[in-house]
Amino acid sequence: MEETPNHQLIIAIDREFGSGGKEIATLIGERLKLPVFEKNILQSLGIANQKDVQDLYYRDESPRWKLTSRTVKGLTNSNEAALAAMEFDFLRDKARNGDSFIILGHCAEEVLKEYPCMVAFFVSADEEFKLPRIMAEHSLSREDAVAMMKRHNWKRKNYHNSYCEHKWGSSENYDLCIRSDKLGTQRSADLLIKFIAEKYPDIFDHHVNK
Amino acid sequence: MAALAPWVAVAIFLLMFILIILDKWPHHYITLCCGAATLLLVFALCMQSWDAIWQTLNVQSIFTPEFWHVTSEGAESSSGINWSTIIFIAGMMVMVEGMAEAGFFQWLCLKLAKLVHYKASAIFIVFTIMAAVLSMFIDSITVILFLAAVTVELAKILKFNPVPVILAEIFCSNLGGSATMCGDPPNIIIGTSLGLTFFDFLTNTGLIAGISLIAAVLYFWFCFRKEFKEADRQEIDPKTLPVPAEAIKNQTAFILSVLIFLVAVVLLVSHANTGLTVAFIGTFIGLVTLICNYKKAGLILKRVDYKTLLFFIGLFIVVGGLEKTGVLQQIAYFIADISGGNVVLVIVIILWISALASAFVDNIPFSATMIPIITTLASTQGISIRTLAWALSIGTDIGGSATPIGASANVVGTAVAMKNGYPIGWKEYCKYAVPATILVLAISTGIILLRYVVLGG
Repeated sequence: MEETPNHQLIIAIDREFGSGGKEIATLIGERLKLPVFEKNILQSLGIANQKDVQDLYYRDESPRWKLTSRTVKGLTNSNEAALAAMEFDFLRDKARNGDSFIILGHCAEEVLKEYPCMVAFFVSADEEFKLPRIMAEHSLSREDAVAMMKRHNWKRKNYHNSYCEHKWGSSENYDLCIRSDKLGTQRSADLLIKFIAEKYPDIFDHHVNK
Repeated sequence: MAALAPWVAVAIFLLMFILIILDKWPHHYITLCCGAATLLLVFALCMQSWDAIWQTLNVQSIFTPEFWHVTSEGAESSSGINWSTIIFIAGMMVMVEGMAEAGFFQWLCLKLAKLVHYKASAIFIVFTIMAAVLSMFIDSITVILFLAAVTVELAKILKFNPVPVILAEIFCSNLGGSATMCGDPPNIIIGTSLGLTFFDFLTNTGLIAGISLIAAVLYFWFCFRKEFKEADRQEIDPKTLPVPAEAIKNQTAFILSVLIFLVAVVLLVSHANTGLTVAFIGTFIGLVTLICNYKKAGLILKRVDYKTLLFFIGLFIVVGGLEKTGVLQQIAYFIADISGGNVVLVIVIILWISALASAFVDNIPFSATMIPIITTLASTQGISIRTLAWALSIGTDIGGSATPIGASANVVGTAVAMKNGYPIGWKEYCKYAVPATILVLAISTGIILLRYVVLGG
């Protein structure tokens, strides 16, 4: 949905795996009536074959493997890097069109930093908060959940740091960093909504009342 | 200190290779820095030889008449920076940029697609053969850049999967590049270093490439025949089809670029008879292109890939360090030792090791490194240097086809496909390219052994 430029709102949420970032984004999205993009961004890139989209799921937000990729004239055979470039272009196009949306990860806080209507959050949490959530969501043992959490956080960190000037999770990158285990996901989402309402009152009212 | 020189040269060479593979910095920075380290640490500090520096920089060769015109057959330069290669590639880059600016490549692709009535199966055959033929004269990066883009464009209109066609185009482009002296950078380096002509390549590697091309097209057809037959049955709205003439941006520039290309082909084919060196041909073609496109000369020069030229300069210095310190000679003796002087074994080792290495590392530094090795092998083992040159050329050119990172055309082709929403991963690429590479290498090994060893040709 196209917004008038003065009501445009982009919320970039970076998150640790299992911290409830997606849940928080969904809650904010419901309150502000904004679409939330994460893995579903792959459906918007014009990839013809659905099987290819499925294959690219695990390459999304993954760093480029240097030993298995090369760059020639600015073009790379790395599907991870090419996918990242396509996703960044998609986000830039959406922002240029004046659309309002919530984007999880995908270096959005850096890719869209030129937009004053962009607010960036980082959600982290204690392991004891994250592990039960991961275990329940993916039906895993504690050991497997630890391995999965480490693997995904490694991927997200390396992916982010290979495209961005600032480090993943570093406070200078974001407007607000929050520990979701302190308040829980619902109250954390409420806090972030309050922050948006304070920072952009007119834009907030527009979205809540639309 | 002199005893340390080979070790330092090897360390710099290995560091350069590792840094290229890690791809953290631009490749030309890496080779230039390693080249500077070779000049300073190996030649100046360890060997304390100003002669070695002077010979490796090789600038004096440009100012000799033989650099531009040779009266008898012989090596133009076998040590240090191969300026012939660099000047020739620079000239061809200017020509190709001029052709691209005029819309030549899009026009050719669309014209051929129209000639075969936009049938997916016919487009597959025509485009793969065109990839091979164009790559005989133009760098495969440019060929694949345009061909893959047009293939995707046509695939969207004609509703076929472009991935099989792009995979075949990449493979045949590398194959076509192996057919001539100017088709692939390793061939230019081998040709200029060993004094081989365009015609030498065409009648030797060209013959192998020609036979292999038939096998490769049949192989890819066999792999994807069902998809193409299905695509042929699609109903297409003629109004949606692209018009070839619309690709031509400027009629005069287009005609001039075609004429320049034809002149370049004639000069290259006849350079053994005219005595004109590839450095002369590159300079001449580059200058003519700039004069004919004087209004856009600045733009064309801006688009020339200087990074590749600088990459070559640094690379030649580093390889010069290995050569001057005798490291490459030692490797040649080692190969001679393990082969026990058996010609067949030496040829097989050169061809298959080159192919294996080129599948994973850049084939340009590899071939530049191997030239002094095959020269030593030829002189010590009494094997024809030409036979080893063909084995090296085929090995490096064809081996690069096996993986998505083996050759620049592979990277460009898979990147263009992905950019348009058709991802090609390692698994899918290798599933089709590895058997094709092995097939062509087996054919090439058979032809080389039969022609040069059994028949003694």
